[in-house]
Amino acid sequence: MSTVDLIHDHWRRALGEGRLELTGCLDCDRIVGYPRSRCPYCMTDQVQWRRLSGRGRIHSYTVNRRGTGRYLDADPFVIAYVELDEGPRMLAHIRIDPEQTEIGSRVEVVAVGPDQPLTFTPVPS
Amino acid sequence: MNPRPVLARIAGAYEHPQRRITDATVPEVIAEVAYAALTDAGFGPADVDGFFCSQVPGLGNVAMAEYLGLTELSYLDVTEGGGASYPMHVGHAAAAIAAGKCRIALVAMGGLPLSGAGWRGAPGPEEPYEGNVGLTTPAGYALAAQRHRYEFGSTAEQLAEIKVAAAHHAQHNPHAVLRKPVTVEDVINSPLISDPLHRLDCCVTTDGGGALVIISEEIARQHPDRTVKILGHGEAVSHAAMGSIDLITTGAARSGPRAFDEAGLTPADVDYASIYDSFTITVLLSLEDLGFCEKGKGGQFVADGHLQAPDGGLPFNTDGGGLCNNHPDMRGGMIRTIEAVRQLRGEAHPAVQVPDARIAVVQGHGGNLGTRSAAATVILGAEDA
Repeated sequence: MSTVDLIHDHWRRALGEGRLELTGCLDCDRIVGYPRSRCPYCMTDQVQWRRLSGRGRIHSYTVNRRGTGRYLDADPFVIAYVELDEGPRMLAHIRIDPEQTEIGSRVEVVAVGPDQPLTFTPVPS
Repeated sequence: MNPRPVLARIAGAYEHPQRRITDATVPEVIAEVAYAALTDAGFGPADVDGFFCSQVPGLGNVAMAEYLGLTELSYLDVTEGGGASYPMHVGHAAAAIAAGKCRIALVAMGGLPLSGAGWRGAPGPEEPYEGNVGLTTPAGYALAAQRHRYEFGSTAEQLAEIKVAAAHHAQHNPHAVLRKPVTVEDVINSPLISDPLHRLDCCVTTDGGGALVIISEEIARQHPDRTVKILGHGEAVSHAAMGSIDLITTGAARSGPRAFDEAGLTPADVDYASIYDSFTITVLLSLEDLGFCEKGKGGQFVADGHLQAPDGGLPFNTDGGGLCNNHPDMRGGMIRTIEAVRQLRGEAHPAVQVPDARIAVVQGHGGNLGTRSAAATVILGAEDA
């Protein structure tokens, strides 16, 4: 059983093409992460999709060495909060050697399939 | 004519106009009715300090509070009584307002049974964006620990001292899961679960439970046995709201002052602390947020046996805590409260009984400090306090 989720559908389509998009309010101009169909500041439904740069920096990270569910037998993987250049901090995977991960380093979004998490990769320096 | 005494007033009301909804999620329906009622009353999300909402997907009303942008909550209620839930919430909101726990309460509900997407089994509002990240509970707390390390230089050894203290106490508890004392080296040599947290930084998982009976002052006057006074209480919700998560500050930074203010007490008055210890980092952050030390100084605070009974500066979790004793149903706040009651009644194990324990603080956290959580602080006093 599933319910219609137009916001998530749009987010997924954009990510599938490597575009990071969030909703922004036409009244108060604030961007919200994760996206919503109504502005949680001023309650209006006049929200609009904004395409973001896709870039940010690692705000915090962990190396999950005991995955569960679909990650039960996975090698250790990096989960991070990425602070986007536009402001919001979002939970994501980083495609990186766990031992090379550092808070503060620059990352950019990559295109992912519908079952994949929001994913970033280090910006080549 | 005598005026009627008023508990509280209803200032906004809204009924969703549709009877079949095919283009929205459950959280969207709840947002629509909540925002419309707030608009009717002339308030916005940031004005709401009491939130009454049962059976929503995900972490109950904490996830819904985040979705709605409720950032100033001091009181929550998730009473579940089926169809009676909402009149129950009205009464609970009125009682909370009359007690000064909140001033502007939002009571909200919504569901989509015709789509099969009611509250049973529906994903939380954040689930589509976070669900496939594989964030386990330890990984979420590890994100907080890692950020604290980055900002303040707290170390693995300092976190380990928290486990060392809990284990030191647990050796006296015949019911504890882990009764063997451990050293700092034991903790940091245990396998990493999610960097930087090791296995021994994590609490046990147990079956079991606990219960309390709470009575009025009138009943207490006739009650022959020793009682423990409830002197203060505070609650708070922490979440990322619009994408601005603060990993190094927990809800205790708000629930603590609310509770201490109500009790007319400060951290300096506390003889015994029951601090939620789902992970060592939970304790370290709580001690900072409650005001036992400055933000960032938690690592130094817990060093050198400071948390150990009976002689440490702030004896903590003298039953062994969630780290060593018990964490039933993955919700440890009841057991934390019960050990505080034992201490204030003088009924803790003699080896860990704090001499003349008169004031205790109980700090609870629920959810995940790495994403969204509820916090509650209770200040208790011995009968003669």
